[in-house]
Amino acid sequence: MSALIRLYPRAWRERYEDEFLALLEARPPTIGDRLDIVRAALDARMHPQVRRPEAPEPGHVDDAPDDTVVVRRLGYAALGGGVSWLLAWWLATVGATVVYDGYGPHRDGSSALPLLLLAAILLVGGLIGHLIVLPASRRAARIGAIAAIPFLLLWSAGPWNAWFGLVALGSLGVFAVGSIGATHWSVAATSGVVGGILGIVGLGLVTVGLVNIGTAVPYEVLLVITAAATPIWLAVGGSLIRVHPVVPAA
Amino acid sequence: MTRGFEELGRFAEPSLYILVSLASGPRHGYAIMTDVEEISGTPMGPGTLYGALARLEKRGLIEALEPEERRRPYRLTALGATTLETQLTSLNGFVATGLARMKRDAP
Repeated sequence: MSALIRLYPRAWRERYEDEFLALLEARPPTIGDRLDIVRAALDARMHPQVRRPEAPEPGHVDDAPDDTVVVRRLGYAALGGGVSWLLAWWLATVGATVVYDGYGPHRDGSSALPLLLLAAILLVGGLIGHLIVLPASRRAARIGAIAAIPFLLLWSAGPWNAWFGLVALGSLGVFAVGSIGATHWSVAATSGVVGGILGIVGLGLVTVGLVNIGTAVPYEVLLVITAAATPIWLAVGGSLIRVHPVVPAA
Repeated sequence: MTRGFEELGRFAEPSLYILVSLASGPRHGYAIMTDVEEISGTPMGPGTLYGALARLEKRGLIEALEPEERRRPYRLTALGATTLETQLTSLNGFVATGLARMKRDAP
């Protein structure tokens, strides 16, 4: 439960944490309650009601050392998601069992779906980390991250739903461009995300193009193209690991 | 709705329930939550409860009392009582108008 509480801004926790925990002890939270807490914590960051006197900017919580620990962990999780992404596509293309059915011999990529979902969940964790550190003034980046979260999960649960993927990728692009100039973000990170998006779109175009001309898509080609999308996880995770606590001015 | 309530967004309705709950005296978070569930018939999530409490406190509609162990009771302020009365009067007029129109338009 303390992990959920840590999603709240430090100023909020200083004011309400004790009584909030007492409430949760008196009434153990259901799954719905936990989702409600996550939603309210994000709201508390976007619309802070409690301010610390030394807070430099609304929504900017880099001055909270324990937030930094959470954010860095989410960064490492996102990097782990990149590994999961690569493993998923290796399993779907090269490592999967060859099956023989009405479609002719092909590899059964369904075994990769759990890894794909894990990759998306860990990337979502990274985006939540960015929502924690992004100042409220970075509205485009925050909206992009918030929009990307549900569509990434939907897309990973059903990768054949291309529209979910396009919305997720578009939102990630908005997030990456909108984050330019934020202290923990870099132009290289934006390039990584945009390059990764182009990698996935390239995968779709190459696949559709080859299928249309009646050519089987070489699995190794698919693997190389999907590997090009890995910088998305590297950028989202790596930039969180670089977050440093800001020491308030004396 | 008064201007203060318009600003509360999705927390407006939970805030109104909380004010009604506190109208009968100070209560802490858990007591508010169970009371609101009785009033509305719908459970209020803990995140929503404290999101609304923070907004009401910031706007001076409620105030926190000294904690009793780890539980902190809240009570209505004079401004909160006035705001609640305005809200309920407004809703009462709305309900009366709606019911009157339904009777008038009934076949």
